[in-house]
Amino acid sequence: MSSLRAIFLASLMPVTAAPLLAHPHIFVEAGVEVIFDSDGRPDALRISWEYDPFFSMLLVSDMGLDADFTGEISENERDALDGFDMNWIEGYHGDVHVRQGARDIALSEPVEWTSDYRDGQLRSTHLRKLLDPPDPRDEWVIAVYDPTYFTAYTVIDTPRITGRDDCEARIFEPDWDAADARLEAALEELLGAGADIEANFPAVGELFSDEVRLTCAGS
Amino acid sequence: MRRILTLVALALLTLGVAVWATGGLDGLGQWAQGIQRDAQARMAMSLRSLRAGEPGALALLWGLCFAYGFVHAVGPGHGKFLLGAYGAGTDVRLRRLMGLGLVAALAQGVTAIVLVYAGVGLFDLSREALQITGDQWLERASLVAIALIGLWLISRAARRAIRETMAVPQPFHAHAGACAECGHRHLPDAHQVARLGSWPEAAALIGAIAIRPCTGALFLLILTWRMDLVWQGIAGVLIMALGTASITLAVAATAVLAREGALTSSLGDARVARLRRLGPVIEACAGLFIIILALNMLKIS
Repeated sequence: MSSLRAIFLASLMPVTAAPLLAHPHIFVEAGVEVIFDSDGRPDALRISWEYDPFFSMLLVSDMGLDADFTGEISENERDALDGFDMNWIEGYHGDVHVRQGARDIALSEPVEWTSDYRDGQLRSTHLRKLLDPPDPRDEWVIAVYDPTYFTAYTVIDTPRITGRDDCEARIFEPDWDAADARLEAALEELLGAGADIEANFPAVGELFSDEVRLTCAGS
Repeated sequence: MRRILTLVALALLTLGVAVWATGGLDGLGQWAQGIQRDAQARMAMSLRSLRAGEPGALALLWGLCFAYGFVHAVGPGHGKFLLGAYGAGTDVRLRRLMGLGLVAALAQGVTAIVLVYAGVGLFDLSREALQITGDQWLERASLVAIALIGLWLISRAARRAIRETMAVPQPFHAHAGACAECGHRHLPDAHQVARLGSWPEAAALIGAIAIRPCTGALFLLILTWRMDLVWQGIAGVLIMALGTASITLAVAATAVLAREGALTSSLGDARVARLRRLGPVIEACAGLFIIILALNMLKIS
């Protein structure tokens, strides 16, 4: 039950769980900056989110801002935005998934966040520390997705790399047809094995996720 | 400029229908999502223009509502599948099935309108509370109802398959006489027709679809209410429902035509006999498909 909406609701009103629909209803353009430390080790990710205008409008109106629906807010109102999407409920992990090989890389809580609303679109950024950094000599992957697929993320622009100049980041889009086929096959397999589909349902969001693959030349 | 945008949107829509109709299903989900994203963004802009009193904004909003409803139904919207499976599995007539599709889509829109304005007017619920009501309770109830209909189709198919296998042992050399008999058996009797066309069944089908309002429609209604654009929003949701219905109708028609094509084609006798055996199989598959879909959505919900 993790979704952006759940987070928003939690931050705006004391609601413990928000229901979701399979179909994406929120569209977010995500940006990723990969930050290396002075020893050339991966240190942190700066994530930026840009919300679609429709959801932005709804959310800003929820917060009681931009009462005239102009798409712009005053400087005072801008202060009220601070951290609007950073009050993460339990079970929500920020929709950024880092792995190297079979190993999942843990990320810190979000820090150093910013927020803004201009031209009718909400934007925010935050920093996640890599708690157990991947080995930069091997390829590692940053996947951006909401497991429940209520929010559809698109990784825009090639990620910026800070602190090293011998690394390459490439964006991989989902293979939609393959994702559909995999979902179907997984369901059939579960049904055939008599498994509890509810408990073992494949994470649809991941199938449709954009991912960034990072490789560095040497160490 | 607005007219051009609307025309472009219509052209895209037509192109989309053409692609869809000609079987270009590869990447359909991606295409639908792209259009939905675009429609959603433009809807926000048109709402802003409408509130500012710009001419043409209302037509643009309503056009976008239609497009949104249309692409939403191309995605994993259950009404389409439910109706399609119902059409493929029963002997309901095309006209009636399409009527059901239209009524169900409009009823879904009306549910959203009633939900939002009942909440606004009577209970003064906040948007968040409304969504708990709308998504959690109604949706779950609806998905369970859908899964039950799927189960019902399967059990009916199984009963029919068993009945036919037991009652009509097919001779290896199937001649015209034997097949005329099995064909006769397969045709629905008066009792069956009466039962299939009964209004409780139709009402159950409509109810299962209508009970789950679309999140997009709820968003739009809440926004237009806050913007003092009440009737424009309500009309927009109904137009959205028509967009959804257009896909549903296409699926319904395809289901009925496919069924009739499979069951009444004038092929060789032996082949006809074999095809008639397929009836329950098609029905069971449709039922299974519905259940998977319902469970799928229940889980993701």
